[in-house]
Amino acid sequence: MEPRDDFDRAGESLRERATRLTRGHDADEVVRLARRRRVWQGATAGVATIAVVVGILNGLPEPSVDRITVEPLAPSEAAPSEPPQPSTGSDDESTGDGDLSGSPACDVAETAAPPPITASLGTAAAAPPAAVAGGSLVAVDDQVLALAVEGSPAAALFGPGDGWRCLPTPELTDLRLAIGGGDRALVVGDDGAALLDPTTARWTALPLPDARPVGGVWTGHDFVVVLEAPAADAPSGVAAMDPDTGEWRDLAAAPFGVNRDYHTTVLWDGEQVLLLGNWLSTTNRASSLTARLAAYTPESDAWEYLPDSPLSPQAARAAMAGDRLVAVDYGQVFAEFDLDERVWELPVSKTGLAGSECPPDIAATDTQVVITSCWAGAVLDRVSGEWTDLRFDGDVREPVALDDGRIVHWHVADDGATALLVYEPDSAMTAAADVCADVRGFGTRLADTGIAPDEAAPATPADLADDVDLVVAGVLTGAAAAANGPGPAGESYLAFEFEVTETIKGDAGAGDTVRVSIAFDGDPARSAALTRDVPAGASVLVFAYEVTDAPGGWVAADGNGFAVACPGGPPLGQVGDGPGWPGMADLDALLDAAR
Amino acid sequence: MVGHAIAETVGTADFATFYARHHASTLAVVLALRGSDVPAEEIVQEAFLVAYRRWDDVAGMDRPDLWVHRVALNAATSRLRRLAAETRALTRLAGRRDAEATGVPPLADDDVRFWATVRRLPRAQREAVALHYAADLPVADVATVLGCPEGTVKSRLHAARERYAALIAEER
Repeated sequence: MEPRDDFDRAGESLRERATRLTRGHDADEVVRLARRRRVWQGATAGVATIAVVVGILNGLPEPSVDRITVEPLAPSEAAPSEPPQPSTGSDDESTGDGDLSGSPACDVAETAAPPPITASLGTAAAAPPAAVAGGSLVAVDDQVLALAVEGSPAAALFGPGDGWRCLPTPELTDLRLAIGGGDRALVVGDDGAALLDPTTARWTALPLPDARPVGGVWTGHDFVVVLEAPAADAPSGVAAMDPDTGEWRDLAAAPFGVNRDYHTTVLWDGEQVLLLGNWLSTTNRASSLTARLAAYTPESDAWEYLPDSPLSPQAARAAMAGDRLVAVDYGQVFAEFDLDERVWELPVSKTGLAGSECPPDIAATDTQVVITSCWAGAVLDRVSGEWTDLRFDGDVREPVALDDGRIVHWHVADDGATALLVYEPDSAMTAAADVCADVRGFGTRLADTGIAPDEAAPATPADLADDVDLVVAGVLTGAAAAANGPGPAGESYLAFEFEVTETIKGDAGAGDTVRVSIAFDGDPARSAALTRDVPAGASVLVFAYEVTDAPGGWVAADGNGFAVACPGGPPLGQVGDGPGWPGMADLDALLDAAR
Repeated sequence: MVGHAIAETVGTADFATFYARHHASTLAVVLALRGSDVPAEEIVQEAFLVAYRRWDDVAGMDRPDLWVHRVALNAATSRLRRLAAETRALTRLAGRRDAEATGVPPLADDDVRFWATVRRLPRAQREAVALHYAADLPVADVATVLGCPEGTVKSRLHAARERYAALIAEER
């Protein structure tokens, strides 16, 4: 058979298969997903500016200042403007030159835009060059090396001085591994490897290791790289690159195989190389019940098994926090391994985040642990043992600990705007910041009940106030409960309790405790999310109907009735979207508009 | 409520029609490039999610289907997006095989081998093959998606066929 015939036949077969698979899907899935992922934003105006400034709702004490600003920048890589651009970095378009004389593929001039985010715990650094934004991050001393992962990897360094410096592009394509070590960095792509000396901004080309690397670490003398195992029962090869010689040498094979970089961690504890992970098939069957752990001693060129972890065999990552290994899996199970006692501990079995279907990542210092997982994050203060739950208006990824004690990670907004968030080593986990983060998360969940109203929202808050029976401001007590089971059209209700501070309309007085229900689509996972971590003390403004089938007798107006806000910040949650709603600076403004 | 705003503004019916018309061909492209059903479906869902969020703009394009093909192509070849989609898929399915998960019988062995070989081609070539043969797009449309001249697409397809033949010969 001629090759051309193969192409036509295989194309037809694949189209037929795609058509059959498509029968299991419809557009409603996308609509539901959009609602689930949505954060508070001006969806129709195309404007995504959220400014949280300090202020108060009537009678609340004024807290310290926190500012969060999200401004849309350029469209993301995955969403090109029409017409589509040839931005795929095809194999035959590689332009890396690996030398100072070459032109960097990124441009610091692109970073002129103001930092898009200032978070309450982390602060936003100068916007990164677009070519590296959202790419791989590794620590090189107290600097951060950012690399594009697709095609020819543009490269840039962040710091010292918290500025970005573009580097020449290493001569390789499709980044597979980047390791920071001492004052150098090793990068490995599909077709080449290179060593960076950041002092001279020069890349030195290196040979490839014998197999695809899935993890690696700097030991102070060598870059030790663990290679992809070819099968579930095959061990991973291990190779060392001495940067002074530029040559690879084989080390003893690991006692088990690994093959996925998002599920493999290689660490250095000062004496041994630690390997956490296991092998996953293409259908994600794992080679062991939990993620495995082993240690390699360079002096003896020998591995030893350590106790298997209590973490998922499918997506677990680890970092060194002082003399302990800290690890997390995609179910947000958090565990520590005591290297002296050689035992796993579960000091806090959960990070406080909901289990996420995203690969988690983790970075740690002696005092902090930062976990990221899609649009959520958590920071552990290792001194107090307290977790701070962080929710972001976009994806967060690639946390990296620097030698100076700072931790950085990317924040990528839905529209592709990317910032590098920096956590100082002594950044206090302030209560104000915690509350605001909780409020934002709660507001997002309120907006995500999975139910859209059937009819148009009232044009203005005053119109809605006319329509409902109760308009009150108040303060959440933190109490919440799943209410009266499936309701009309499969809906269920959740009741939230708050103390009334001001009544605009209806039969409730200041000081009364009121329970107001909201309808949601009955999804137990959404119910659990909505009733978790209701931020006590947060300000609310509620428009509600009096009903007989909800606890307390009140149900928030259909999709428009339950707003919450960070102190002085804009309304979050179920906020109307008609012409009279946008631009409400805070709950006070909304309250005034409802009068 | 924002969800209400999206539902009204986006024109859900138009989006549903667009989705129904172009989901299969977009999925075919991603299947060609990724192989496994479930992660491919996740990637396509992400592409249509992007289209849905920008539907006001996308719907006004001359060929929104080509735009969503481009988005899916980017997502299929973006390491980070791919990992996220694969992990979501594996979590959701707890290790079930594709056929078990979808109920659709697997591809014939010949086709599996064919697409596995295509995935060994250089990226520019395999993308052109996926768009032209899996999605059945004419060369002009492939050129639009890839942002290159039609002649470039033709030469990539020609090179792909030659390289494919060489790879098959090596295996025999």
